[in-house]
Amino acid sequence: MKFLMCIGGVEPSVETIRFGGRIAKAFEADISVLYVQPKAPHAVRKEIQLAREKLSEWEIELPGVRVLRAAYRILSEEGVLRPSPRGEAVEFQALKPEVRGAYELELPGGQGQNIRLRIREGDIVEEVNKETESEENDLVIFGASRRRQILQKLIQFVNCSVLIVKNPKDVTYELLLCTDSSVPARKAETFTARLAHFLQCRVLILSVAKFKNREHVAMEGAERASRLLNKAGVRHSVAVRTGSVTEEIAGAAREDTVVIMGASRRPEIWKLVFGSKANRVAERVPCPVLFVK
Amino acid sequence: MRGLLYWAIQRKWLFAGLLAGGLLLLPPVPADLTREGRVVLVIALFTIILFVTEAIPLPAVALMIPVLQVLFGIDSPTEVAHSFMNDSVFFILGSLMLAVAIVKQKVDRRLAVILLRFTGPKVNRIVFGLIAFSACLASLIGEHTVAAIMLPVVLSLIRYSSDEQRSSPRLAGLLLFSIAYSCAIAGIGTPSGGARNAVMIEYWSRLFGEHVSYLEWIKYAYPLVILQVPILAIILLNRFVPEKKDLSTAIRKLKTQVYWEGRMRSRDWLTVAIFGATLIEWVFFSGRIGLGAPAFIGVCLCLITGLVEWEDLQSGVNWGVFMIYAATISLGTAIERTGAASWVASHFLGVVSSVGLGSGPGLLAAVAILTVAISSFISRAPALGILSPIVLVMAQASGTSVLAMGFVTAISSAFTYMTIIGSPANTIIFSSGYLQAKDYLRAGAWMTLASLLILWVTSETYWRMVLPR
Repeated sequence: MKFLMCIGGVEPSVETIRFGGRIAKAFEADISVLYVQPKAPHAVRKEIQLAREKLSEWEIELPGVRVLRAAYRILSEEGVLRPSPRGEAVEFQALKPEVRGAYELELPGGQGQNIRLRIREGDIVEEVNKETESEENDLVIFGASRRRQILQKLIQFVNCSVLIVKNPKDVTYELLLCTDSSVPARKAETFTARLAHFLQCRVLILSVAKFKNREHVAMEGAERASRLLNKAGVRHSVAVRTGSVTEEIAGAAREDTVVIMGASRRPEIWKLVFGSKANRVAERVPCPVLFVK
Repeated sequence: MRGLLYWAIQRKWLFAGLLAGGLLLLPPVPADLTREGRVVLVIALFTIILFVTEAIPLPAVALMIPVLQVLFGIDSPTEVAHSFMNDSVFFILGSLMLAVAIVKQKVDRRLAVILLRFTGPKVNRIVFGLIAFSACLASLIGEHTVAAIMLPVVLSLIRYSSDEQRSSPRLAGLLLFSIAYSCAIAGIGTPSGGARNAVMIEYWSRLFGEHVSYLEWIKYAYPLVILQVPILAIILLNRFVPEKKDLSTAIRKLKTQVYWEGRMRSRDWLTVAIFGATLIEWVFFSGRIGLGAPAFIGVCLCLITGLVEWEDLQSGVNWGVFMIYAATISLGTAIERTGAASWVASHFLGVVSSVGLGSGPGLLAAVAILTVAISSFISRAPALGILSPIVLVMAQASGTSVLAMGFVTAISSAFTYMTIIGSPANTIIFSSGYLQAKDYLRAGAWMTLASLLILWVTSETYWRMVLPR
């Protein structure tokens, strides 16, 4: 599998990188750490490029390298990177310019997988989508942005499954699988089975019927998910509730839960204007949320 | 569908601009404005929206300007094409190419050696040296080039002055702003210091038949550079009191890093000679052969002698900026020719006259403040390109000197100290990662006030004596 961990800002979120690193390690997945910085205005782009070339000639780090350096250190501490023969993590080397549209440093991982540290410039969603298209990533991991609009953009417009790492803790997590009878929910079930298998954790299957007379449909969804998890040998329990989906998920989610749900089926324009369940859940719950697409 | 929707969201300002433009074309044309004048103003508004929001690449906006002029019948395709190319645009292109040729020689390390010879280890001397040195260079070869060249010198000093990054944020701010602001104050000194100066020379010549040579520009504008250098040093040293007063260790390490460059090579001297010859042509012969030809002679010599390859010029020149200047001069000319400039000028004069700023010093001050405000948020090329014909017509209508108004507009457009996007130099130092947006206000607000005051006093004293009536 291929995971993409996206970090930004002046100081990277240590806990987000640690959390993403642990999941990637459990899956033995290839992992790219991507730092997206804002693009310079068109009128000065050449001049910025010239300034960067000058910095390279003087062997001064490009902006963004410091953030990647911190990410590298955290991944080393988590044992995601392969130690050198001297027992230390491999030394941080200079980033190679312009590898598939980004500055890149490739390192060997602890289980033989590839670790890439990359810098891109531009709009975060566009750059992440470019990255997922060229690298065919299965999952994108973000820290929880405090800006609602950015969170909504990431959840709705990133082209593959998205994990929002909100309020990460150093605990053993339980997975909360939110399911119904839809196709996206089935994808979420499959992903949950794999995740629970690799992370060796319990799953709570939650199926919510909006109205009393739809309870049997919710039950059918829960039973189907349960059969799948049984097949994968994952310990789990089942809960069927009636009421608002967002409220029920928010009520069931604790700080040591990872909420997993399928992407919304509503038209994109509807989600943009009125928001989606996914957005409301991500805002309400106190824990990481995984949206499977 | 998802990708298309996201594309549309990212370009929402393009649609907003189209909608605003369409709506403004619906009502009847005002009695005192021609149909073409109204259309040109709508095109100007549309392009300003796109320039501010960057909803589409700026060079695309530049290409849309002639297209819209032709489609709306403002002028014939041939005339629109003619308005694109002129001596000032040649001069801008030639200057950009010369800057690439100079940068190609990797003179930055040698410049650092020269600078360090004159400054000791004391921070205040280093700051004064950086400002004076960068200002001298920026007044000749363009501020963005100097900022890019000087950035590694300053970042090396910051890096060597502390073990941990960000442990000396005030020292970092002091040194970085020394480069950016000195480039800004020096860009006004000569026509080659900033492309906006060439734009103003073009408008004077095209709209009013006033010809200002390279030497005359220096005579009128360079005193402002000299006055601002010490003031900039004082303001920066007060606003960013450095954590360290002595950078002996950093200077020693930097000297070790740059001294291996050795003496100037023959190709370095050749570059200096070609640029010197170009400068002499600009100063003494621009009245006869214009500004563009000397720049192109310099570029040709660089190519012939092998100092630079054509591929370097292709990849190093910001062709987008060149296109933007050409397009906005074309649009500005259309604004004047269709009577739109007079219409806006008369309405603006009506407003400022009601508060006693309708002519002379008051009008110059109002225009300077307006220019600073606009240029702080829009790239200077479109800001000046669109604003200049309007303010020049306004000056003529109010009996104010057209030359004084032009100088005030061009020069005050450099006082964009308070925003990151205010000037290329501001953006370049921000890309170092050491600064925050609020740092630009910290020193920029004082510097803006000081620069505006110096400009106003100069316009009321020195220019009254030397500018032709």
